[in-house]
Amino acid sequence: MTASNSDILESKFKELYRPLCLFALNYTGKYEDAEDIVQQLFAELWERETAGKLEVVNVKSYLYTAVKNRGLKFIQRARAVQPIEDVGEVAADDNSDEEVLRTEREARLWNWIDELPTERRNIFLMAKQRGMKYKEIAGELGISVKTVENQMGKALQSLRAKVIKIYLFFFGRLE
Amino acid sequence: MDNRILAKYIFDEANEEERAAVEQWLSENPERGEELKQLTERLDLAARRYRPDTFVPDTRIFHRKSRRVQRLIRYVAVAVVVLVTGLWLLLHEAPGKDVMLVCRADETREFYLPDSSVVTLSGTSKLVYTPRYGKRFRKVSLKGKAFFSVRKDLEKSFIVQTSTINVKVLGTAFQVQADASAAEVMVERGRVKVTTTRGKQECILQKGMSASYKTSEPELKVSPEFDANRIGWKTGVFRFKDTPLAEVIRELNLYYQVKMALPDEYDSSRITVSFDKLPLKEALEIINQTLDIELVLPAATGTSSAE
Repeated sequence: MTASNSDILESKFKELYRPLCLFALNYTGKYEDAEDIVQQLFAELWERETAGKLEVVNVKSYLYTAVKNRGLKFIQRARAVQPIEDVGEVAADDNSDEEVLRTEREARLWNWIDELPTERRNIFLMAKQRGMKYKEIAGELGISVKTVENQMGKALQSLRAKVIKIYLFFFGRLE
Repeated sequence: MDNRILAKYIFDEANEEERAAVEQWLSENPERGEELKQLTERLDLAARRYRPDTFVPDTRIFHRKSRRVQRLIRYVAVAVVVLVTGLWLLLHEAPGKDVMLVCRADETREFYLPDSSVVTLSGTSKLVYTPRYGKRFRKVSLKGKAFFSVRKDLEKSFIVQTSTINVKVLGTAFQVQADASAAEVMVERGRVKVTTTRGKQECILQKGMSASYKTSEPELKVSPEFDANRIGWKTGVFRFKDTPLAEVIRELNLYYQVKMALPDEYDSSRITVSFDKLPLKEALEIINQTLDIELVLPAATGTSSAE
């Protein structure tokens, strides 16, 4: 019965919240604004569901489209009040499927970073985001360069483990 | 290749010897170069905008609207439907007229029966009941596939007739799929009694059990198990709970009519996931999301290197 609608909505929320935020971030350029857009959207859907007015058909593409429209609106409004360069870069519009896939991959990679043990995560972010050398990281954290090497190796190992290839041989229709 | 050394290579920390070792390793197989390229791209994408503790779904946001209001509205909605259905039946169902509920090939529809039992029809299914429904029995006849959520009424049994079997309900929720010569019953909740039209074979199914019958092999077969996914390959609705990924792939192969193979080392990965009639690509995407892995289709492998 209708219970499944709210279940679907809730599971989509858990599943797509992060990629949708990243997708919104493509437009807003600001983390808080991106999160506002996505939260607002879900709150509205929830309200509609509560009122029994929500039809759940292809939720995912609906969500991405809605976030995109709101992101574009956000840019328009922002342009009116602040210089253009402060607004996030507008992603090329040519292929939004590609944009969605990329955002979802990015969200998975965020999950991957989240799941690294704290020290390993810090080391990885220092090396990758701040561009620090192993020696500098070791100095700042008061650990040996060997430890940094090992932790980076383990981080890479877990990333490599995530790329599984499934080989498909079609003998029928796809989709 | 040792990950520690590969990481040093990627982050430009490798010494002469290590660099030579990595380059040797890369030159042995062109796929390794591709993997390295993918890895560095992923590392870039991962770190590009990452912020700790950011964009984490918090379902509290989601429950801002009180459940109480929601429940109330739902009850009201159900009451209205029941009322309208009742009125409609009162006005339109003069005695002697059968009621036929139908549903198009591409849809799933929910109907309330006069006693407010709910039947969900799917595909080109047809359900008929007479004005005598609810007098002594609650009898319906079915061709196609239907899920029943039966209102408990110990006085009046709920009976589903098909060409080959009758299903008598002693409890609550079950599914029947039937055509002219075969039928299958799966019980989600409660108990049902199945009787074949010919030969009067009988069985009682408890929650989680299933039975099948066909006229070509006229023996009522009872299975103690009810694997929800057994319907999945027909309906596209799958509920996997802590299932080995390899098994999930096998089920998907059946439904999507494809042949996918999983490298042995991932046979034991387990997944809890559900799919509702999704295109294959989306199903794989959900697996990726859930397990946080990257399943690559070969059509895409040519280009996946160019990702």
